[in-house]
Amino acid sequence: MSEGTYIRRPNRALGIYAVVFLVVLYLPILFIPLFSFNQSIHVRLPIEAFSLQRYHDLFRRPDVWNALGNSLRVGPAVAVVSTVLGLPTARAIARHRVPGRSALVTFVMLPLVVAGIIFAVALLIFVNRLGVPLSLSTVALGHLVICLPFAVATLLPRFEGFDEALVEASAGAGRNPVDDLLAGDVAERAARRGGKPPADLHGLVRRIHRGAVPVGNRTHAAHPHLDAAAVPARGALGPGAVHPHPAVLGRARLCRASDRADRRARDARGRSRRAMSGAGVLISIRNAVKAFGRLVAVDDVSLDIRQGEFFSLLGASGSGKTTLLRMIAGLEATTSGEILIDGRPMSRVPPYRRPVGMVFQHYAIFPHLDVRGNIAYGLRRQGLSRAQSDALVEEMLELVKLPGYGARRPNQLSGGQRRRVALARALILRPRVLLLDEPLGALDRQLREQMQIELVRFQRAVGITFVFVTHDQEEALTLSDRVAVMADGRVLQVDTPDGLYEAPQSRRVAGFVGTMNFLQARVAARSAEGATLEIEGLGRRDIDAGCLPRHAGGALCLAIRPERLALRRSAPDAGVPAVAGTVEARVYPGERSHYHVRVAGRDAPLAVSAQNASRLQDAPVGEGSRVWLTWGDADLIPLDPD
Amino acid sequence: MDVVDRIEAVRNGRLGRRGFTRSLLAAGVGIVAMPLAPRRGRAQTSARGTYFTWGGYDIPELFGPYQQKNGALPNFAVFGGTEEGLTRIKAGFVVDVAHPCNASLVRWRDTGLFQPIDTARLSNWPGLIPGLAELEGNAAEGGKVWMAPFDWGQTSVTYRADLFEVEGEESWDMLWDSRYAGRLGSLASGGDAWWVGAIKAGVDFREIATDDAFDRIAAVMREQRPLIRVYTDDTTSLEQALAAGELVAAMTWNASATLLRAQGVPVRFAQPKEGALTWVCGVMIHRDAPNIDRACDIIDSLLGVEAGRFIIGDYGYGHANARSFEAFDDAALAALGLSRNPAAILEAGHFQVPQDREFETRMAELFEMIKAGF
Amino acid sequence: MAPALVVLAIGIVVPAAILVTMSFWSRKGLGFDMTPTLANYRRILDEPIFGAFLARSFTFSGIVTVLTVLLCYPMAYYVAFHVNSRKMLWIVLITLPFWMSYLLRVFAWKVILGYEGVINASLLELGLIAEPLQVLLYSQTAVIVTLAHAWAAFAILPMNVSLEKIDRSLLEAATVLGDGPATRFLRVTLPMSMPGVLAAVFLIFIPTMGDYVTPALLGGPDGAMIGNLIQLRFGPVNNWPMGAALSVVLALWIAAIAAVFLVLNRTAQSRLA
Repeated sequence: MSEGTYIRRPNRALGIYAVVFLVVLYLPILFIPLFSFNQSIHVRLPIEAFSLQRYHDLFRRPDVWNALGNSLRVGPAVAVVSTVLGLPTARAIARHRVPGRSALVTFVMLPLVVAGIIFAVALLIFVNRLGVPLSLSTVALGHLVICLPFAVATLLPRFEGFDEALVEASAGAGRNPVDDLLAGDVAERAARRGGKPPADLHGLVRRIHRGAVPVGNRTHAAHPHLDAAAVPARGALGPGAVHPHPAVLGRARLCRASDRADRRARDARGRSRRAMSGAGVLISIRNAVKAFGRLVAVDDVSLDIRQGEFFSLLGASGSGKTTLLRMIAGLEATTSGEILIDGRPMSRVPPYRRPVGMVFQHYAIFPHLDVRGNIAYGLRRQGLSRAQSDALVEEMLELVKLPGYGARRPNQLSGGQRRRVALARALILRPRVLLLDEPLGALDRQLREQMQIELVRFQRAVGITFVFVTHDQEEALTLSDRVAVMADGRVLQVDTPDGLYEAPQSRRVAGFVGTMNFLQARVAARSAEGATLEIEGLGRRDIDAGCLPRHAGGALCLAIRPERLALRRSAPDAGVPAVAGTVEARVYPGERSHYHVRVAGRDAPLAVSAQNASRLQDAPVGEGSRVWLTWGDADLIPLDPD
Repeated sequence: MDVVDRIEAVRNGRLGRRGFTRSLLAAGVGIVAMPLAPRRGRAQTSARGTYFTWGGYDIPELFGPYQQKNGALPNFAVFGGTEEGLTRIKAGFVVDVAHPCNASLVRWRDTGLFQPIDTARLSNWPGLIPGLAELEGNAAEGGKVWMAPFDWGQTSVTYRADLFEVEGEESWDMLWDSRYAGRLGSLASGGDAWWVGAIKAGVDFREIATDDAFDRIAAVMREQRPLIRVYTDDTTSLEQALAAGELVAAMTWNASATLLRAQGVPVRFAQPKEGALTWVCGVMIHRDAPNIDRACDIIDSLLGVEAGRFIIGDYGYGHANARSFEAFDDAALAALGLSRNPAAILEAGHFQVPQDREFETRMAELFEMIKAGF
Repeated sequence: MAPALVVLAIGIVVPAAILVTMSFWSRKGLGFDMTPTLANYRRILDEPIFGAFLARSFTFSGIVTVLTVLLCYPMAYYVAFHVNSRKMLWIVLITLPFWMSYLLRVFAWKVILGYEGVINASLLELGLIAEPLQVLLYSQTAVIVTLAHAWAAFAILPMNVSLEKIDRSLLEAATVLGDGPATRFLRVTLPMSMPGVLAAVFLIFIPTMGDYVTPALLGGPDGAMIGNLIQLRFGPVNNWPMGAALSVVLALWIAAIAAVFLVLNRTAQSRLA
C-alpha cells in the first residue's frame, strides 16, 4: 500500500528547479506591492520616494470603493451560480455515460476552447442587439458563461474520482459491480467448459496438490492434517458422539517433538514429488530491516526461500509482509541487512536489474497499451525482433488461456483476465522468482477459490518460485508449500501449512491461523516422564515431558483447536479426559456446527466445532444443553510465551 | 473552501445532493438578486453622480465644492480615448456627466444620448472665458449648449532637454528625427496622432477628410512608424519612459510635461514652429442622467476657481474660468506655456475641426494598420 | 443539469449565432446594413494584414505554449511525485499568483522588463551591458515572456492532475519489468500524462491566440496580435461587422489548429500503443 520509495527517491535537481520556478513565478508579483509605495516617476529600484500617498488617494475615491463593491458582488455571485449549475452538470456527465456525452462535454467546454475575446465580442454584440444597457448583470452573465465551463471542468474529475473511490471502497467490502461481473464471468466459463459450476473447488485444489500441500482451512479442517490411518471411518463411533475424535480411540501422541520429525519427513516427500532440479535456497533474507522514519516496517527478518517453492508471507495489514516483498523486488531499499537472490547480494542491484517478476495487487496493467503491448513490455530490453517477440507473446497468451486477446485494451478485460495478463507479463521474462502482492485480495470467495486453483496449476506449469503475500490465512495454507507468518514487521514462524496449524509456536500464530482456545495452565507437579498440569477449565492432566516447552516454569499457556474438543450428550467412560459444560451458543453455518460451551473454572466459554456428520441423525444440541467435552491430551499445544 | 467542505459533506453522505444544490442555489440567487436588482436598467440610483472622464481627471482636487454640497465625491469612470468612451456610452453605459473634446463633440451629441445644458443653472457660467463655448456644433436650442467647456490645451512634443539635441527651432520634425529612432513615443489615438500627422504633412484641417489628405498623412505616419518605440494612450507610460530616458521625445499633452518638470525631470513642452495641436474639452450631461441637479453640481465644481487653479498649476492646462488665472502671474503662465487669453494659444496652433463618423472610422482603420506595420 | 445548459445556450449559442450573423453585415453610419454580404470575409482574404496577424498570433501562441508546457512539466512532475506531505501547499503556492488580476501581473512584468527595470538594472550593475536593453519591453519577447508567466498555472494544474492520476504501481511494474528511470518515464509516465499535456496545450494556446491586453501593453508596435485587431474594430475603428468576421475567422482558425493537433495526438497515442 505504501508508495514506493524507489519511485519517490528525492531528486535534487528537480527540487532546485521547483524552487527557482516559484521564485520566478512570484518575483513579478512581489514588485506590485513594493512599487505601490513608490511616489517617484522612476519605476526602478531602489525606490526613491516611499510614500503612502497612493493608498491615501485610493481610499478617498468613491469609484475605488464602488469598483471594489462591484467585484465583491459579481465575484461570489458568479462563483456560487457557476458551482450550483456546474455541480449537477458535472455529476450528470460523470455518471451517465449516455450517447452524445462527448458532444455535450464539448458544448459545455466550448467557452474554454474559444478564445476569450471572441466570447467577449459575441456577448457585447448580443447585449447590444438586445438593447440591454451594460450593467453589473451583463458583466455577471459574461463571467458566468466563461466560469461555468471552468466549474464543470474542475468538478468533473472530482465526481469521476468520487466514483472510483466508491468502487474501491465497495471492492474492499467484496460487493461491487465489478465483482458481480467477474463472478458472472466464472460461472459462464464453467458453463462453457460443460463442467460443473465451481462448487467442489477444494476437491480440485487437493487433486492438484496431490497431497503435497495439505488443505487446512475452516471448511475442511476436520481431518486433512492427519495421516489417513489415523482417521477413523465415520459412523464408527457410539451414538453419543456428535463428533468423535481419533484421540478418543487410541493413544495417538502427537506433540511437538515427534511432530517436527514427522513434518521434516513430509517436507522431504513434498519436495521430492516436485522433482525440482535442486531444492537449494533461491532467496536468502538476512537480518533485513526496513524503517520508514521511526516506523520499523520490517524488523530484522531472516528467512530462506527455496527454489521452486510456493512461499507465502502471511500477516495482517501492517505486518510488513508487503514491504518485505517489495524489498525483494528492490522497490523498497533495505535499511540494513541483506537480501540475496541466487547467492548474489541485491542491495546494489536496482529493481530493473533483479531477476524477479511481480504481480501487483491491482495488477498494474498499463492502460495505454493493449494486451500484447503489456505482455511484451519487458521484452524490449532484450532486443528481439518483432516476430520473435510476437511469438513469445502468443505463447504466453496460450499459457494464460487468453489466446486471441492480444489486441484487447485493458479496459475491455475482466479482473481475472487482467490478472492473467499481469502473470503473463511477468513470466515472459522468465524471472527466477515471481512476487505476488495479494493478487486475489479484492475478489469474492468463490472467484478467489477459482483463482487459487489457477495459480497453483500455473506455478506447477512454469516451475518458477512464487513468493505470495496475503492476509488470508486460509489462502496461504491452501496454496503454499511454506508460510511465513508475520506480525509487527517480524516473522513469527516459518512452517508448512500443517505445521502452522498443528504446531503453532506462539499464541499469536495460533490465534492468527484458524480458531483456537487458549488455556492457562499451572505446573502442579513434575515427574521424570512429564508433569501434572492444572489446566484452566479442563482440570488436572498428566502430560509427557516431550510435550512441554523446555523452559516452562510454574505457569504456561496451552491451546486446543475447537474441532479437537468433542461434544457429547452423555458423560464419557471413566478414564477418558472429559469436562462437563453448558452450551451457551450455537452457530450453524452448514457443514459444521460451532458451539460456545461454558465450563467451570474458566471465564470465557470454550469454542467447539463439530462436523455435521449425517443428516437427521441427531437432534441438534440446543442452547442450554448440558454436554461433556472430551479431548486427547496430545491435542493440547503448549505455546511459547509471547 | 466552504464549497469544498460541502462537496465533502455530500461525499460523506451527510448532506443530500438535492439539499446541497438547493442550499447553494439559494445562496447564489441571494447574492445575485440582492445587489443587482436595483442596478438594472438605469445606472446608479445611489446618492452619487458618475463622472465619465479621461484618466487624470478622476481626482478629489477638482470636486471641492461638490463634496461640500453633496458630502462625498462623485463616482469616477475613466476612459483612455474618445472612441473608447463613446463606445461604452453607446453600449448603454449611463453616466451623469461625460468629458469629451471639441473634435468629437458632434459625434457624442449625435448619439442622441446627451441633453443640452441649461447654463443658467451653473453658478460659474458667467465667469467663463468669452467665446470659449462657441465651438462648432455646440449651440443647442434656447441658448443652451451641448458641452460646457472645462479645460483646453495643446498636443505637442515633450522632450528631454538634456538628451534631445534640437536642431534649429522646436518642430514636429522632432518626432520624425531618425537620430532618435526607437526612442520616440506617440499617443496611440488617431484623435491626436493623425491630426499631428496632418500638421506635419501640411494638410489644412478643413480638408483633412479628403482622399488626398489621407494619402499624405498616411505617408508621413508610415515614415514615422519605424522610429516609434511605443504608441500608447497611457500617458503615465510615456511620462515614465521620458523620465527614465527610454524615450527622448514623445507626443503628449501639457500635463505630462508639467508633471515631469514637477518631478525634476529636465523636459520641455515644445512650441513647434508649425504650431501645436490645440483643443478644448468640456462636459456633457447624459440624456438619462438620474439627477440633473447633481450633474450640474459636478459641472459647476469643475468650472469653479478651485478646480481651475489645480488644472492650471498642476496640469498646465488652460481652464475655462477666467478667474482661475488670477492666482498666477504672467511669468508663471508663460512657463506653463499658457496665457490668460486662450485665443492667443488656441489660434496660434491648429484647432481641431469636428469630423463625421465616416472619417473617424476610415482614419482609425488606416492609422491602426500603419501602427501595425502595414 | 438543464439550468446549466440554458445558461450556456443563452450565454454561448445565441451570442455566437448573432456574432456569425453580424459578420455578414456591414457598417453603415451609426448602425448596420443588414444586407448579407461576404465583403468582410473578402477583405480578410485580400488585405495582407489579417493573414499576417493570424500567422503572427499562431507563432506567438505556439512559442508561448511550447515554452510554458516545457517549463511547467517538471514542476507538475515535481509536485506529483516528490512532494508528499505538503502537496496542497505547493498547489496553493502555484495558483496563488493567479488569484491576482491579470492586468496587474502584466504591469508587474513592465516593472521587471522596463528600461530601468530589474533585469536591465542587474545587467548594468554586473557590467554585462553598457546601455539598458531596449528589446526587453515593447517587444515580442515581452509578450511571450509575460504570457508564459501568466498562463503557467493553467499548464501546471492539468498536467499535475494527470501525473497524480498515474497509478504508482504502474511505474513500479515498469521498473520490475526492466525499465530504468529514463525509459520508464518515456514509456509510462509521459504517455500517461499526455492527456494533461494536451489539456495544458489547449488551455494555453487558445486563450493566448485571442489575447490583446498583453500585446497592447507590452508588445510595442511589432508585438500586436489578432486580438488587438478585433478589439480595435469594436473600439476606435468602430466596425463591428468586420470585428465579428475577424472573430469568426479566428475561431475557425483555432478550431482548425485544434483539430489538426487532436488528430496528430490520436495518431501518436495509437502508435505508442
